Order: sequence, then structure tokens, then C-alpha cells
Amino acid sequence: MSEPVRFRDGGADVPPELARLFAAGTKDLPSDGDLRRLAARLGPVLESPAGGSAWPGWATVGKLAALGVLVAGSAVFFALNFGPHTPRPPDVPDSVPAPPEVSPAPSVVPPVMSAPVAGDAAANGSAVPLGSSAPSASSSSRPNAASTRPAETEAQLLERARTALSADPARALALTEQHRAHFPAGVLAQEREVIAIEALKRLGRTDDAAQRAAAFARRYPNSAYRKKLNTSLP
Amino acid sequence: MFPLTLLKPGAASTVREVFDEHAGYVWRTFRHLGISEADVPDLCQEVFVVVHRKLGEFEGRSSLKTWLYGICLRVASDHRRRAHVRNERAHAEPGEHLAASGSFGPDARVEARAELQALLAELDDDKRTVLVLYELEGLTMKEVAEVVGCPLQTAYSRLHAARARMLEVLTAAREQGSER
Repeated sequence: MSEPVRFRDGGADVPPELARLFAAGTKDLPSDGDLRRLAARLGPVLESPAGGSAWPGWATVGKLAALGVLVAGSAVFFALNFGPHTPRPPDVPDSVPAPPEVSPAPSVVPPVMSAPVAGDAAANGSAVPLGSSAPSASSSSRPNAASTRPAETEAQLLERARTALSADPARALALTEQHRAHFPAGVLAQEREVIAIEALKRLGRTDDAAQRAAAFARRYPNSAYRKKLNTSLP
Repeated sequence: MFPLTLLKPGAASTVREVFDEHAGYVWRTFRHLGISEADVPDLCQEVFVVVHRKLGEFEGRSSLKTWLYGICLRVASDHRRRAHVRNERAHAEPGEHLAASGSFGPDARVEARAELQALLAELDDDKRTVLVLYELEGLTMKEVAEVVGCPLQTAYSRLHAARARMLEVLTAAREQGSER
């Protein structure tokens, strides 16, 4: 079967208007400024080798910080240093008001711990059932974040979670639950889990963190984060 | 034409290299798939986060280009799946743009983009995706079928239907313009 002449290349049966619009469309690339800003948001991830096997600054962060999280929101995505002094990228406005607080379960393993890691079906190209994932302990009372943040993307939600890690890991954990609820097959499921594990550690719930890390390893045996998680947990 | 890069297994490559070569095309693809301009940067970020995570597993069975487009489509699909953005489309009536347009004005690029997006908004997601990948991104139909994950014949059917719809809309716009 032969491929038809593309609109942009014209042809006897292609109206000039169509050829003109499609030709223009092929040249409609973002500006250099757009791409520079995008690169700035991605930060050090751009310098990582394939598979993220060598993250910048990895050796310099402490054992806890070694989890490293990449999550960019409306702005930046990778933040490897979780420490309280980690500077926030300058172009990350926190213009979206914080959602109502959600208190995670204080001492028991929360439902999210026993739930399978939500699939990154998008990245894998296959549907991943969520299995017996239970709602979070607070899900029944949790407001519908989507209704209050109708345009929030996965990246934005996880960036809020990442940003909350240092000062309020409980909120960070709650935000990862929101992500799981709203993006059950989101492409950033792995990043969400890394944030959640770090949040659990910061809450002193090391057993929970270890269990969740183990679930992560089962779900994503080839993940670039797995080694980092292994080295950061007791 | 999209600069085609074939990554072979074990090839030294960084996300930076992939970004430098393809970020503009990733951005443009989201535009053409009907993602609002405000959300395009975030979705591009999601793509390159996935690239960072997955690049080491990329086996070179397909071109990097088709691999990347596959990620784009899935990210866009996830984005659309949310009810409040599902109907997010182009912002203009195709008839208005096409009937009035003869040549690009001072802000020709933006105007042409709006016209094109209005046209593409006439298509459902399946047809639109095939049309965008073939007509605008320059993939072969075999590559389109691979990225979309459908039989080649299905991809052709969608392309033909999409092209026919484009011509239909254009004809209607012309008639509308001639009546004014």
C-alpha cells in the first residue's frame, strides 16, 4: 500500500490552504526560550546517562537523602537533595494554594503500604491492574482535589508532594495518595512511590518505608530507582 | 523532517542528548494532539522523566523517534482521561479561520497554529493521532501503526478518514466564506 502524498507537499487533490497550514505546522516548533525553560525545569536529569544510573550529586547526599526524587511540577522536576536546605528552583511558583490537610494514619501501615504500586502503564505500554489497592485511610473524607485543582497535572501534584517533604512529610505522603487516586495509571507512579517512601522514612516509619520499598522492587524490578532505594534503606 | 536517531543497545546516550534532538518535536506533538499550551511544558517534563527512567531499557528495536512518540501518546492519553480536560481542544471555529484566511498576517505563526488546531479538533483522538504523526511529524505509516499500536491497515483507514474529514471541513469553510 503506497503512502499518500502528505498535505504539506501539496498535490493535485490537496487544497492550497491545507498544504499551507500543514506546512506551517511542521515548522511550528517551540521557541528557544521555551526549550531553555523546559531544560531548566528538568535540571540535572538531563545530564544523567541513560537509565539514570548516575545521578548528579548522588554521592554527596546523606543516606536518607540518597533516595533522591525526581518530580517536577509546573516547574522543576528533579530534586536529588531532600535536605531542608535544598534550594527550590527559582522558577517554581507555588501559586496553587495547598489543599486541605490530610492526616495519614499515625502508626499502622497505611493502606497505601499494602496496595500494589500503581502501574506506570503509560510508560510500559500495558494496562496494569491495581489489584486490591485499598483506599487510603483518609480517602473517605478527603476532598476531591481534582475539583479544587482542575488543571493540576501529575507533575504539579508530585512537585507539591516533593516540596512538602522537608517541612511536612505527612502532607507529602497524603499528596502521594492523592496522586495514586487521581492518576492510577499515571506515568509518574514510580516517582510517587519514591516520594512516599521518603516521606515514610521522615515520619519515622522505617518499617513501612521498607515494606513499600520492597513492593516497589517487586513491581519495578528493573527500575532505575531500585538500587538507590536499596542503598537508602536499612 | 524529524531528525531520526537510531539508538542501538548499549549506545552511550544521555537524556540531554535525547532532549536536545527531540524536545522541540515532543512539544509540537502535544500541541497538535490538542493539549492546551499551558499544559504542554508539564507534559513534556513527564515525557523526559519517563525517558530518564526508561532509556536504559530501550533496546533499539524501534527507532528512538517512535519510542518517544509512544511515550507522548500515552502521556497525552492519561492527560485527556481526566474528565475536565477530555474535551480540551482547539480554540477556534475552523470555518471562521479558514474562511477568513488568505495569507498569514503579522502574527502568522500563531494564527496558522490556531487554524491548524481548529482543523485538527474536528477529528476524534484516534484519527487525529494518526494524521498528526503522518502529516506533521513525518512518520511512515508503518511507524505510525507501531506507535499507535494498531494494524497497518487500521492506521491507513484512520488516515484516509482523517484526510477526508479535513477536506470536508475545508470545503464547508470555503462555502461559508463565499456566502459572506
